Amino acid sequence: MPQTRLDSKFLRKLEHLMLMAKGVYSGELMGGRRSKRRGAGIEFTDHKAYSPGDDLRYLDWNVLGRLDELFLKTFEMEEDLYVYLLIDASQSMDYGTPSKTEIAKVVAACLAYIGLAKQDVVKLSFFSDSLVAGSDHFKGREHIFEVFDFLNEHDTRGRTDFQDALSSFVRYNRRHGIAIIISDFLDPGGIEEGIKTLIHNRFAIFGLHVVDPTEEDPELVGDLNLVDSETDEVLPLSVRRSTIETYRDFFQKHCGYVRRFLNSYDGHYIKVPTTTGLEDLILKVFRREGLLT
Amino acid sequence: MTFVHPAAYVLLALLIVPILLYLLPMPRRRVRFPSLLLWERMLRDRPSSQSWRWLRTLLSFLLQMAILVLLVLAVGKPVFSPAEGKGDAAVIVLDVSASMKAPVSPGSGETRFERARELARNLLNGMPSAKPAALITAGSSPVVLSGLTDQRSLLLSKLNALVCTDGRTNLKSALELALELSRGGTNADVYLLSDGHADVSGVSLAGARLHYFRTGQTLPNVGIVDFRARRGFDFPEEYQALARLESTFDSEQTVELSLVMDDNVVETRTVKLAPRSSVSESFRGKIQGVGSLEARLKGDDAFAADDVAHVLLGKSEKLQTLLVSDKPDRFLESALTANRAVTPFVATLQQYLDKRPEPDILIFNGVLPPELPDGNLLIIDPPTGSSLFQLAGEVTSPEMSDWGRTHPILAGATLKDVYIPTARALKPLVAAEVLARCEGGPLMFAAQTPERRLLVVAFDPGTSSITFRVAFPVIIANAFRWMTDEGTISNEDLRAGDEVLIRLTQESPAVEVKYPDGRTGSVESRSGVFPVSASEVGVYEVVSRLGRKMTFAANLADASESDLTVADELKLADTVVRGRDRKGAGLGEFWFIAAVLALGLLALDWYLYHHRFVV
Repeated sequence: MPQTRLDSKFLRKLEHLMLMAKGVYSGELMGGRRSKRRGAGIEFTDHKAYSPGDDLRYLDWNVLGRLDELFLKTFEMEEDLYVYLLIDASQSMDYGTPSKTEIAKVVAACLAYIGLAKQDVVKLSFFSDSLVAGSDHFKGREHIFEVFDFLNEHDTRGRTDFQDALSSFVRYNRRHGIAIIISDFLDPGGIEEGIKTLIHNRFAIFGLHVVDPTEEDPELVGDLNLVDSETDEVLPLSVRRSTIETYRDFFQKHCGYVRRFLNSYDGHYIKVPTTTGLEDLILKVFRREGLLT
Repeated sequence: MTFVHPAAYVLLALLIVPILLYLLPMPRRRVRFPSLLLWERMLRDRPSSQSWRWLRTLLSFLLQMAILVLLVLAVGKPVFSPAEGKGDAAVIVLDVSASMKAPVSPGSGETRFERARELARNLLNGMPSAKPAALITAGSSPVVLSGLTDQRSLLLSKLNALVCTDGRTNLKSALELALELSRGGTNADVYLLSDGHADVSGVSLAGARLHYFRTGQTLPNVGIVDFRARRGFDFPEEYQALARLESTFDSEQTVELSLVMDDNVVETRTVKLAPRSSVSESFRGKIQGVGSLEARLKGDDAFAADDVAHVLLGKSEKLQTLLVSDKPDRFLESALTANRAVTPFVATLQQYLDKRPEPDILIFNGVLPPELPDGNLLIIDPPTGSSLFQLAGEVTSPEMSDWGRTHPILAGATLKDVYIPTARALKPLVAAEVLARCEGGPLMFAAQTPERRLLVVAFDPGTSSITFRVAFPVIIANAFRWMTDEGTISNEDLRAGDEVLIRLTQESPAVEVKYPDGRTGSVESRSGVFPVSASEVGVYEVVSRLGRKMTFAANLADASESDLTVADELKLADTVVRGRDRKGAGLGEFWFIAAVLALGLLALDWYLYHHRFVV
């Protein structure tokens, strides 16, 4: 379970990391990261010419006295970052050893800890064919145990429906931020509409594609009935070597498609094999792929 | 088709296993998978991958069935009857003539005879066990190896012991015999296993069923079709030989013909034969040794029986004859003197009785001693009876009603219109063959006893018109040759496959025969005659109990047998029977093929499975 794998030494390493916040995020609380927004901050950054309607409280009287021109002082705002961790809790995630769900939860816990350590606002949500559950907004590392509890409380069930689930998510989470979707991206209805909903609501998206090796390269042979873990639908199949090769091609195409789709909306795609070690994943892969810095 | 091992029928029941496995729905392994999304997309994009699944299943099923069937065939040793006869019995006629020693095809190690025998074996094995069958060989003369019997093992043992001869084919007689057997209330099918190269146009099928199986292909050949030799008439130490070669090749052939005398090659010639032609080669020289001449042919053909021919010229010593007569007989003495093979001596009866000499042939002319001596006798006009015949008076002006034209003594002689004033009325007391007869009894008869060969002439030739005919010295010469031919048997017309009758003057229960292939055997007497079967080409040596040695040679010397044409059909008097030439008609050694095929199919099944023949 996540707690057992997140020892204190590893957590200390995570404290040096920070979630990359590209794009514009508008937090309400004074957060721990500098914003590009100019405004009512503490640290002076520049002057700007007065335009009608500007707050006269920030008028630089010294400049007015010397130059007889109206300039306003601008300050760099320090904003908080909203980090949304959307964890796929559909039945298809309950596959492999360790299961994809386990890996998803551990990864979510790590990212949550990194966010909390940097005073980001972290919210976790489970989704399947709808938004299953959502946590509170956490800020500050002292909330990490609440995060763990939340992760442990929910298990997999139901089928995947990105559109319904993410539409619900957007309805309840108006504050945009980073949406990190941890999923296997296997939605018969397609992931496109759900993702677009997030994009249109100004969420920066990271797609963490959790993949079990036997899902990518199944060890199947002979005549068998494949049972869909989400729908219990049965597919009679005669699996030969070439069948597996064809399937593998389809799986790679699927991964490529998800990547291209996310990239086309300035999103990021990171493949998360369940066999990759957690340290490697967090400290190397995520940093390399631009999720962490 | 039947199985040698009937247990195969039980094994056939195993076929139900794959059938059941194919028909019954086999439980499939259930495997849970995260999502069928990609699988379904894959099948949608490549529908053929699974739609051919039934084909793979069917193919696998068929392969399994084929493997099982082949294994059952391998175990059961199937025998395929070439023609399922409708009759209640089968008469198998097997050609054992020399041409059956030819290979079935160029370069093949299997002879036509071996194939025919295999075919016959399969025929017997393929018949219902209760169906009777007969076995007839078609050689120089047909031989019924076995009459109709359902003892399959007996027939098979006789078949296995059968050997092919170097003799000619008398297919006509064999077929007539077989057809007669088939019509004798048995409603039998006749199976002829032969190359069919014989004239059977005189055979009438008359409703009988004849199945003709060809055993081989037509092959070209060069062979010695005739070989004759004789001593010089004036100089017996010289010989003249003539060999005739015949080619059935469609191209010119060059062969080497050698003349071998007593195992020494005396001359070799290169002979060219035009396509489908014959050539005669003559040889002349002096005889050395015992006078065994052999013609050897060295050519490029696969038939050996006609590549060699032998002639034995026999002894060159002159016969010693003693004419015992109390009156001079100019005609008889002239006939004896004219015969260069004879050294004649003349004596009166008293002179003979005083010394009792033992010449090769004794001639009593008008006289007869009280007791006849052993040895060959020519008795002319006997004045009294004897132990061999009884005198019953005289016949005046006897009219010759008949004479035996086939006896060697009368060969080349005619007795028509011979005038005889008087003749003795004789009655033979031993088994005799009458050579010429009149109403009053025999005018001339020949007899053979263990002690002698005998010719009795019941009239005085000097008073008849026979002395003015060529027939007289011919008969005298023939008689001498007949009486003394036991040492060497004239073989000019002796063919392989014939039965040679050896006559011995001394009583002997059996003779030892040394055959051309080196084996020896004992032949027992049959009414004073020793029948020696000359089934092979070569020189035969017969040794009597008293150590007397006789030799004779048998040759193929038959243009018909040297012609290795295989007849496509048999033209009978009333129908034409087309030949079939299925190899082995049966599946004699099919078990091996079946096992190999089963193994091959098993490997194919394995290959298809592991290479995912069907996606």
